Amino acid sequence: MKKILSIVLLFALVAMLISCGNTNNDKNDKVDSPDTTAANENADTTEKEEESNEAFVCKLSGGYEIVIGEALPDLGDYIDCSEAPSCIHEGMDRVYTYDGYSVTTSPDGKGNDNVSEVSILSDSVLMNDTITIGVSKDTVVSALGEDYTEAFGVMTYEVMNATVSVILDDASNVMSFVVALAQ
Amino acid sequence: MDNTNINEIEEVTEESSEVAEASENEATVTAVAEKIVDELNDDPETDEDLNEEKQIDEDTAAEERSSEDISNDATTDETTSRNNSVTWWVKALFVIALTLLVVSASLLSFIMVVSRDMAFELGSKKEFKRIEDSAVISKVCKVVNDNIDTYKLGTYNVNLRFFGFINQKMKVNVVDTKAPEVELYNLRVPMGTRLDAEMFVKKINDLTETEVYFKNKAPKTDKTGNQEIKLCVSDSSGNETLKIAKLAILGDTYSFVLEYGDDEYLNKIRGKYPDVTDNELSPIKIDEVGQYTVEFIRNDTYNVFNVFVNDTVPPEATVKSLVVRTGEVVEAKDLVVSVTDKSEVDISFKDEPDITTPGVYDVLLVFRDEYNNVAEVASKLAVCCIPTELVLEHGFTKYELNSKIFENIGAQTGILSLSTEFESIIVGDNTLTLAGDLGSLDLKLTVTDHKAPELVLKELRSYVGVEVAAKDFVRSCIDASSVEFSFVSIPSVNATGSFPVSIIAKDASGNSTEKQTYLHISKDTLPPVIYGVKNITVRSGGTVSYKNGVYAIDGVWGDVEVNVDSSKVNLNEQGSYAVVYSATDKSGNTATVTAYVTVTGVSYNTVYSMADQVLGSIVNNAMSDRDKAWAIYSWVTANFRYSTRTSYLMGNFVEGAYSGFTIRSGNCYIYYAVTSALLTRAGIENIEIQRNDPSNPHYWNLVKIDGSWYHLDTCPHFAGHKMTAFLLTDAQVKAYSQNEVAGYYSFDESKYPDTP
Repeated sequence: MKKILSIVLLFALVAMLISCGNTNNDKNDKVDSPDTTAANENADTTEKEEESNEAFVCKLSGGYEIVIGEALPDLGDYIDCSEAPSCIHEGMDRVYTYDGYSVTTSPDGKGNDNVSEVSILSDSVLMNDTITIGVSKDTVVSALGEDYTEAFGVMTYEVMNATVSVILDDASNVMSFVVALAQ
Repeated sequence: MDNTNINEIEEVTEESSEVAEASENEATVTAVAEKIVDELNDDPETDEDLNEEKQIDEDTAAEERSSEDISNDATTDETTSRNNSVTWWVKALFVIALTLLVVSASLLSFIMVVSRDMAFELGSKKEFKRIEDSAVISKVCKVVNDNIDTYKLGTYNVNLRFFGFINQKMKVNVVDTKAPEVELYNLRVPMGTRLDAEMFVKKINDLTETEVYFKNKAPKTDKTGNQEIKLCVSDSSGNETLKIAKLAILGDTYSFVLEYGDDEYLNKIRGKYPDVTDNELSPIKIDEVGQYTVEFIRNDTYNVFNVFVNDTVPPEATVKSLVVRTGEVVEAKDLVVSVTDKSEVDISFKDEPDITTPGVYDVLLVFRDEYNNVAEVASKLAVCCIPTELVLEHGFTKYELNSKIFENIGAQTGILSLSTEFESIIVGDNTLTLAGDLGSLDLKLTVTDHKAPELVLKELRSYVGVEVAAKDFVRSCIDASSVEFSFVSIPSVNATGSFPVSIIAKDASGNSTEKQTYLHISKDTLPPVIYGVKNITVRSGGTVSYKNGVYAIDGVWGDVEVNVDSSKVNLNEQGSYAVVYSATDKSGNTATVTAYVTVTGVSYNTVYSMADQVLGSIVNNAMSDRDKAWAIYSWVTANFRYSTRTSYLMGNFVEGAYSGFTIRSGNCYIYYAVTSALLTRAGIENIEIQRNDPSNPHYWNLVKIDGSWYHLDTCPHFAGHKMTAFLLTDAQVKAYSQNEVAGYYSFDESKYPDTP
């Protein structure tokens, strides 16, 4: 009887040892190694950074391309240039007025002045081949899509790193068209 | 007599009684053995008997032991009773031998009796009653190997084991001695029905194959009447059951004759047999001519009636007349429009018409179905001498065409005429239709064209750079088919002057004509004309559409793009500015028109009107001042975007508010101005407050709510230092200036009312 009991206890002990070993192995299988986890996180972060790095490009008639969030390109002679302090960041904003549009630059905190806003002022200039003052709402939707919000006569698009605000008049024609760096 | 002698006598007496006792024991043993044998022959033994035997055996064993004891005791007296001992031993041995013999014989008999042959009835339960019902036998005898299938006839060998070591075979026969259990139907059938003994059978219960047959001859059904029929059912073991059933033979009223394809046949049958089910009527195929037997069972009676499906309806046909050419192959079905019949129909001419001789013939068409039902329908057949195709050179008249088509029609004139529009005939292949009262024929007409186009050209005047086409030189061209024009050599349009040009006109049949004319090229000196230009008035800070309604057209080049030079216009400053419209054609001629853009100021009325429009959507009279202020604060912060583009409007309340309402963006001053206009129009007292740093100004509002002044700032704050600046106290704005953005709300307190 004693022998039988001893054998039974021995088997139980061996079974416990085996199950602990398997549990440990399972845990090892479920948990990523620190290197792998970090690599995955970096990959996710990189993807997000890549998405936010896409910038809205304003292509104006005359062949000018202005990239929101980047330095002001050479657009020729401006009609007017003014400077004013900002209420939402340190430093001065500059407003350059050209024939039919204006460009505002803002300091980025790293010593650079980057384009923070492009406004269409008249239909003497076209943006992205179709958009200007006076075109219909349908023209805007055809160019920018259906993914916008609308309130109090203002259509707002969030496109890449920019916010596009389109103000319509009573006839649903474009009265104001502004592309600004997303705040 | 002394004691010793008495003792000896006593001992001898004891010995004698012991021997006598032994002898009695022997006799008892023998009797017992005999009894056992008898009991085996009588079979059932009770446990009581068994126990008694056991007790006897034990007694016998005890007695034997006591006999041994006695014999042991007897040795001590050997000297005195030697003669008596020898006799006793012989007797004892004899008894033992005899006993053994009897026991063996008894045992053998016992085994033989138990293992004699047994019989089981087929399908019965497997029970070895002989063994199981006896307490004694069931103790000593076990069935070891039992492979009997009581549902299968045959002889089986069973192994029995006695006393645990003696094996004995036993035969078991499975037999069938039971006759089949039979239930019969009574039958009701129409005359002429072929009877089968199986038709009477309702149910047979037997474990073997059974056969049913008429005990006497099979009954006849050629006369109506009732009979009693004897039927015998026997099984494969030879057991028989005899039963009697009733047979009623019915007349013709129990047969149905239906028309092939009759959709109402089921209702007709049910009219006589209302409870007959669809399943029972399923043998009837109304779309197949034939005889069907319907069988159904009601109240233990098997009923049969016949159904005959016949087709007696001839086909129905619609025919037409036909016109054919002489010698053409004509089939009867060519004159058939439609045929209706439940079966296949064969169509033929009663008499074959003569297709070789032109004429109009009366023909009879015969329609015969699969069951020989016939219909005859009359029609007409016209045989004409008409060609199948013609080839004519373009330029023929209608009369000439008809003459050609009907030149051999002879006596059949009037049967057909040309129904195709003559004007629709073209050079090339045409299909003409010749129609009449009796029918129509098609005719292929090929129209050829061997005549070149008749071409007349004109001289053309054009301008340098304007491309010209060959057809531009064509005044007229007459041809039977479509004509294409081309240059012999494409003329140059890059220089002024008069140049000869050769034109080729080629028709679809390949006929061509070449002629010459002149191209006169001169320089285009006329500019486009610009339409729709007008002076424009726009408010300061607004936007303007210069091209709305403006277009340019050139006499040579058509539509020309209009360009606008608005470089002199400053929409941020009131004043009048020139705008130059221009349009340039491909010849380089340019038109310009100048208009004026007047940038005007804005009035308070305009701004307040815009504020009222917004307030109409966000506040109502039931709201408190605090609630109205919150609605205004929420609307501005949600619908405005920070921009420094209109910073030049700082200090100009009306222009600033107007710009804000129009383009929904601006710097802190615009936020202040729009908020102030809304608060004022909402009836809430408010004043301007600004930072006391002229190099870095900031504007916001002070509002009076419930008698106290508070700070209200709708302008966004620095990133990372957001705050809901609604009805704040001086302490709160100071705290922001100290803890969040240094000096943000720094102001000259002496100039403004205190907050709570």
